[in-house]
Amino acid sequence: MLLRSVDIRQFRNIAQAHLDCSSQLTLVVGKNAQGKTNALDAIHIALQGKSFRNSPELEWFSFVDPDVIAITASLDNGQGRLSSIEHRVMANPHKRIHRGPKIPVVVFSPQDLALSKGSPSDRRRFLDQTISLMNARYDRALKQFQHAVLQRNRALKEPRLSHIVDSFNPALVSYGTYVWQTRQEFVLTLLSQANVSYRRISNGESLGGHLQYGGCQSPIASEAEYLTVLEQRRTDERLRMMTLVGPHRDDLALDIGGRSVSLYASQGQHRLVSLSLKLATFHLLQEEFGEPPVILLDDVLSELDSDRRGELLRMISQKDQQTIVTDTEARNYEYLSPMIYHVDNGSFTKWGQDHA
Amino acid sequence: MLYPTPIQDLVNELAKLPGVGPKTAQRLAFFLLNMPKGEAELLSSAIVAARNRIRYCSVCFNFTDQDPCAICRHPSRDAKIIMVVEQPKDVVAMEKTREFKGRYHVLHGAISPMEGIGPEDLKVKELLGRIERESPVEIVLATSSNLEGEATALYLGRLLKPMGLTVTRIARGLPMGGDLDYTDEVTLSKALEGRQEI
Repeated sequence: MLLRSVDIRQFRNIAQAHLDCSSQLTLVVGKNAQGKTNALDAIHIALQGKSFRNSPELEWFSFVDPDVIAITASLDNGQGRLSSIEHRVMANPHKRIHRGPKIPVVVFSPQDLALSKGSPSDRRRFLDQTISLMNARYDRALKQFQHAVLQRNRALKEPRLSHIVDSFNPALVSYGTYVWQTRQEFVLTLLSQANVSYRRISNGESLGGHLQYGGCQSPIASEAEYLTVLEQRRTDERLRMMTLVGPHRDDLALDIGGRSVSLYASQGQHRLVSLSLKLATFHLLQEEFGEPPVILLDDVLSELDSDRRGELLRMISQKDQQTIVTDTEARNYEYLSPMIYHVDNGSFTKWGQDHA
Repeated sequence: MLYPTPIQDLVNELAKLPGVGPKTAQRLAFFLLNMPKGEAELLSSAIVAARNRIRYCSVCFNFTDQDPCAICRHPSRDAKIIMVVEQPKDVVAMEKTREFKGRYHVLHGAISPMEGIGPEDLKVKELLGRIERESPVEIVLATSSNLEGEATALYLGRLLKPMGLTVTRIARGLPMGGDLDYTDEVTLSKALEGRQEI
């Protein structure tokens, strides 16, 4: 699947833009705070229906004309058959329309550092988003589970309702166990792939890890087991007035050569760990869909030394790899003869037509 | 644009209805104004009549214009079996099947801590009183199969079981005509749990 072009209207600082996409590398160049990342985010919204920065929809509206956002993308199935995706958000009344398929995409951005350095919730969000790309049922089960947690927590907080807490246990346990099983399976393949990437970009160190089950000493294999642990924490839960056992408290525990990443890793190691997780995601998606996902690179090269830069550049220069990159300068990419857009205060101009 | 007060009032009232926004309310208001006068009056008197004459049945808490309601008064409906549902519309849905010959009990909602709704806010106390008075042999729990409906059924099940009557829950699982591989894992495992010998 090839992204041909994207049209953006009234999205944050972009009043109107048309971007043709090269089948390989498209480069958006501009100074800071001109709209580079906004363009990338708009493309992500077209492909996935949501922002990669996790910004809420209400922050998407244009600074000038906050009425209707329209992002449309034109796709080519590789044999010249065209189709399109349309994403619209209306301000008043607040409404959203998304028409078209979801296209697998991997974003590399400076925020990825949170995968290694951030909180457990950053890692959970990463796991959930990636699994959802490959498994639509997971998303539904996760939402049901989260809903059960909310209901149950509310009941735990209100003395008047404390006698109905247990009524939500079966839902909690059945959806929760499914979420755990799916995460566990995914984490195993993710980490073995991430280890391969990590060995290559570090100096042969090995990256390990496991899914740390929320509120449990050891992995939970069945609904019955979940229920048992839940029962054991009963008094605790009533004291602290929240659900203490479940995937909503998971963490992805990582280690380098056996030493915990969150405790001992250096800034440089954090960077490599998060990059490896993203590279692994890319490979897993490629395997799952039989073609490489679209890559969005948000200003990441500047943060990497030349070796790791080479690793990323090698990946995006592969045949059939479609990539959209933002950077403050074009220098690093010239040998890939990209299609270049220059962005200045939210407006885009195509550069060097001959490159296309 | 400002309308004369009577029109604006009508628009405002219509906009309070579920699923009706300001635009639709305007359209409805103009439709009503263009109607023959008699028809508009029929509508308004239907609203007033429904509001004034409809109340809860004192037995099952369904909406009714006579107390007790038609189902509760019906001589051939089996009083030994009571089906518990969330809403009056669920009674209608069940009646359309023509399969159920017992009586109903309408809870008017489901347990939902997030909305502050506990068993005390539903017609649960009334159900208990009814069981004491009518001593049925079976209670069928027919609340929805969403999270809140399931929790309500579970709560009621635990409450009623010790009273020495049969408590059943309507089956959950595959919808008729449903494809196995389009069903999510949790539903599928419930369907497996509820399998029956053929």
